Amino acid sequence: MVKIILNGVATEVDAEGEMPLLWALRDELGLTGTKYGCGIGACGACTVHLDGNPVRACLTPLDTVDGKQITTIEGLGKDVLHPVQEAWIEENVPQCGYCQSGQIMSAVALLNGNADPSDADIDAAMSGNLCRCGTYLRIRKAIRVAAKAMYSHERA
Amino acid sequence: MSVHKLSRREFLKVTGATGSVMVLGLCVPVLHAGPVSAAVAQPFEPNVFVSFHPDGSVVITVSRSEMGQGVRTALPRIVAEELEADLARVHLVQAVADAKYGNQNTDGSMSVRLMFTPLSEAGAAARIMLEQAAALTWSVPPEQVRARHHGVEHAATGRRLDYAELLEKAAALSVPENPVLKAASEYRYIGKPARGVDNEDIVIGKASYGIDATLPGMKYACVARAPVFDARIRSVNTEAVLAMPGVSACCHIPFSPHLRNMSPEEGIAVVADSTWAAMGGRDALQIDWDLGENANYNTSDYRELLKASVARPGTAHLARGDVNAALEAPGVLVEALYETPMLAHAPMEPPVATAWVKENGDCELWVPVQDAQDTRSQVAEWLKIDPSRVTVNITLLGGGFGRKSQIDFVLEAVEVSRQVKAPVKLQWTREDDIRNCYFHAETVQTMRARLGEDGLPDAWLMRSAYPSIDWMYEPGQDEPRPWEVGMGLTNMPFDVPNLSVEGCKAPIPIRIGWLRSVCNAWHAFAINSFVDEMAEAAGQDPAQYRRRLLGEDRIFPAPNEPQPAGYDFNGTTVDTGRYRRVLELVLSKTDWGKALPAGHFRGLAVHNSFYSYTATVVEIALDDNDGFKVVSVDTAVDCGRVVNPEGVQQQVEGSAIFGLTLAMYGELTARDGKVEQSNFHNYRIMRINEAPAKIRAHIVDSDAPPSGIGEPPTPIIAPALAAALHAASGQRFRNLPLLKAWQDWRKAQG
Repeated sequence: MVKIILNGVATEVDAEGEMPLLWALRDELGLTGTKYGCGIGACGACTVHLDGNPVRACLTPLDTVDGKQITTIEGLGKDVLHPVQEAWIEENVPQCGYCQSGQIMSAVALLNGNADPSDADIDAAMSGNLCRCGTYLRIRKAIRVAAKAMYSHERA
Repeated sequence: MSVHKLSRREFLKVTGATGSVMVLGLCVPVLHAGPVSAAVAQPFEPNVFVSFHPDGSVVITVSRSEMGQGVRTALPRIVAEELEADLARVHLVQAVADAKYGNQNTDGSMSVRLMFTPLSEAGAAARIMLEQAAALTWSVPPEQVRARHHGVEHAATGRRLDYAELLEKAAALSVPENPVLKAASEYRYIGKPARGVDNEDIVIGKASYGIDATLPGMKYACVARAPVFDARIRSVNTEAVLAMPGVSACCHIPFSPHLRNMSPEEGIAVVADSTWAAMGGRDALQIDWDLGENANYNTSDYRELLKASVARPGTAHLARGDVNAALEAPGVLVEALYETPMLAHAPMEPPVATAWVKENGDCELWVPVQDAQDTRSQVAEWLKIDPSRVTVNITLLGGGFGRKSQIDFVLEAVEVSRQVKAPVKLQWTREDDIRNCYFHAETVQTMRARLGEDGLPDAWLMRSAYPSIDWMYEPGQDEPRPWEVGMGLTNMPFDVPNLSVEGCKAPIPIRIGWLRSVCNAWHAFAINSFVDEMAEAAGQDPAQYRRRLLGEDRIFPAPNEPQPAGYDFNGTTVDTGRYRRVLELVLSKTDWGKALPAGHFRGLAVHNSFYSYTATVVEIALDDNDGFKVVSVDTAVDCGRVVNPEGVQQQVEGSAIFGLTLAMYGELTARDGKVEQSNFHNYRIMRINEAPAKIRAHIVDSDAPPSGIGEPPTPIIAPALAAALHAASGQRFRNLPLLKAWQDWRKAQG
């Protein structure tokens, strides 16, 4: 039995410790917003936050997250949309949308530590997230829009 | 760190100042709206696409699959336009497979093209009936009333009735057969930009894809399938696997040649209580395979076969004058050979299907497939039941690109569910997806031309060798078919007096299929590259040379074999004026010919496919490490009347990235019958740090019938990039992928 704080809620998972967090979230806990894309940490579709840091859930065994905080896309904007989610809608980022949970989780992690990311910062933080539909230019723009929304009060 | 969360309203205020104003999409996508309530004596459902709730809100049915190309956003707007519907009172329902919706096969960039008129008429018929109902209510002539914004108005008296108040009367009226449509000048949705209707669900992780289907009592399955096409199982030991925790069964997926194109490979499915357990069980299976003759298949050998094939005359699909004699005449001879590799689609969502063969033998599916009705009939054939007993629920597709036109993965799920008597979600891994793809075929093309005194080709011989996708349906088909050569060769716009377009023998033993833009990808590469080579031989600018090649504007029938309605991918006519206009548009928008920054170079390509015309300019910058980066892509498109310009913009952006992946990185190889690549570490997809800074769409204002946009902006990217690399180096790069070709050439330079 592994105990995690999942999207702010103490949660127990009854699954093998070797099971990647990705499949525990999807198959055991019914949170399907986190997606499978490659299983080798090469596409970022399964990105979640582990104690606030972005990790690939497909390569994170369940027994390594015991007692830790996990945030998934479902927990990001629980009551009100996160500015990154708002920006994703505003800039009309998604095409098929499948990779966007992971893209958004990576973008949030970037913006939590960087109020004004440069193009190079964005490229570096987001290069682990593949999008086969090719929404990269809108992702860059949405991140800048979200940064303004998140930090405008600090600049004002 | 504190994060200030803005409300939606605050957010709009903040961004509204800088962002462009866009019409919001349909507000409440409801995937499974309940049946229309019986509160209305006779529900108002004038046709299969339109029905009403008693509160007056309208339910619009989307009959085609959403894979990111934007049909769920664009198609309902066509209905809503003619219906005079308020988008805030529109619900969407995704259609199940049913012939009553007409063609649901979502490929060939034809959803808007095929559906524009039927959906316009569906909306107009409902609107006219509502107007008649209002006229009856007020006892005024129907000409005096007019539907506006979800209600009907009588201007003379200022009266207005909401649609909700007219449903009962409208339902009793007969449906008009030839409803008069609105004038385009009155459009308020068509032609206006709209965001994706599923965005709100996508950004919170609630959008439901094939992988997300979940049923009570559902089992999970993963398949060990033939490592070589058509390999057969000699023996399998499942003992150890069945003892693994979570594993409940192993099922044999039989070899099934009778459904060649769709049939699964032979394999063993491991059934478990989680995806992870099923994958682990699959990996632990011990199978003794008889690899069969295809264990001798190597892409390197196949390339040689194709090269030998284009050295000989092929089947002439278009012949004018006497090309052989004209090639012998004096003048400058230009000759080149182009090669393109095998590819996989690699949609971000690998193939996955959830099937439930119920106790009574009926089957229900939740699947991300491009062709709902074909899925229904194939599954019915597999189970030997009537198609009416198969319900196909279409989920969102996490990308398709042609892979999900084939449904081998659905039949696998059906077979496993049939055997274990429970709902089953069958998941492919990325390795399965790359290795057991329906591959975009390897090709070799040769071009030979003799230029006349004016520098234009007096004779042009094209030979193209690649396997026909028809071989998947008809054994023995071993060379390009007319519909395939018609994707870019026989429908090319240039008037050459002595011309021969030949398809050459290319028998192949492996599975092949459709990948975004299909044969256009390699034809556009060869044709555009060769036009550039002729321009260089003639000492002319590539843009000016294309203008001269085009000559006077002409419209001529596309010399293709007639295809069934909806399957004529290539267009029935070629309009060189539209071709010229996209060329001129992209040239003017990019200021073609202007001086570029040091180290920057450009290439140009033009093509017509799926009834649409496209021209692109790719700009690159060389770096200090003998490499290059794509700086910008400018694409002009004429896809007829545009329903959603925002969607067109997105498809141009996406196609540029897809096209750059194809051009720079894409290559699969097979050795001893096995595909050597397996996942994103060795089958490279463009990443954000490699993406250009700018991708601009330039849309021709057109009132021609709507045509394709999901595929047409893809095939022009590779030839334009190859041309830019030539501009940078003086070297022609005739083999894809271009990054490897470029690096090999740089290395050879020392």
